[in-house]
Amino acid sequence: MVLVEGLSYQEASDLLEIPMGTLTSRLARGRTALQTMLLEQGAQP
Amino acid sequence: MTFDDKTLGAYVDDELEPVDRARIEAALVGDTDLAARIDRARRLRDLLGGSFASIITEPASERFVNAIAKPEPASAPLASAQILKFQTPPKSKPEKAVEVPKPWSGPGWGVLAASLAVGVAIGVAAPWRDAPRDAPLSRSRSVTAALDHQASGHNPGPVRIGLSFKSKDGAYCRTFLADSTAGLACREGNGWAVRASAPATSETHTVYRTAASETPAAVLDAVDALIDGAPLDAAAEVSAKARNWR
Repeated sequence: MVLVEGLSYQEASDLLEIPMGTLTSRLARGRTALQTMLLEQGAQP
Repeated sequence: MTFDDKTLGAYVDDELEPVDRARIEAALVGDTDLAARIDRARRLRDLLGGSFASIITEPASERFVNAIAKPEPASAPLASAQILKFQTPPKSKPEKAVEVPKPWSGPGWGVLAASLAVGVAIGVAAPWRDAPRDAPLSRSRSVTAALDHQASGHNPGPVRIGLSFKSKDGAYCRTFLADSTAGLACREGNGWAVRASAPATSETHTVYRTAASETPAAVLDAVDALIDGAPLDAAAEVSAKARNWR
């Protein structure tokens, strides 16, 4: 939602009904996981 | 100065307060590692945004729009859908608990025999089929073994244990489920005495089941009448077992 659709943190946390801290933690974990996957596939994030 | 991934992500997403943003930009001067981390986060954001931009902005398919605009009426048959029915016991037929007076001697044996009759009559598949027809629970080896050794909730065999607790008179008690019979047994001497039992109705025999959910209301009522405090947790159960439930 944040990275693809461009929603703000506030908009995304409201839509998902989760605290802002939870959203930012999940975003950080998601970024790390995606970067790892892309690197494993030979892409350069 | 170091920044965690969450902060750098917020920087890339333009979600930082101006003062925090300024701190990162100040730290960026001469910090190639920090610059590389931010660059990776930016490239990831650009990659994802670019990859899905066309999908997000493309119009929805006609089929999808129609599906939303014209939902099927609630009464429409769902012939193609596979519905899993979670069966529950009928509320109109409450099971009747069989209370065993204590001490159970004389007429008590008759009541106990009646309470166990359902379990003994289970048939070939019954775990206690080796026991005599009017045998007390202490001679039903698999049930007794489960009461002695099996942890609550675990299901390694034909007998499952629901919960364990200490009764108001200080004895340990455990609920069990063996084939189509559920019961409550309390420690007496070196064995277990049945305090209540009731048939588990066939409707409860679903794929998704637990010993607790299958315990009939009649047995749960007996638990409520006897329990002193809360059920034992795993640690307390291990401790009670180590003391041979005394």
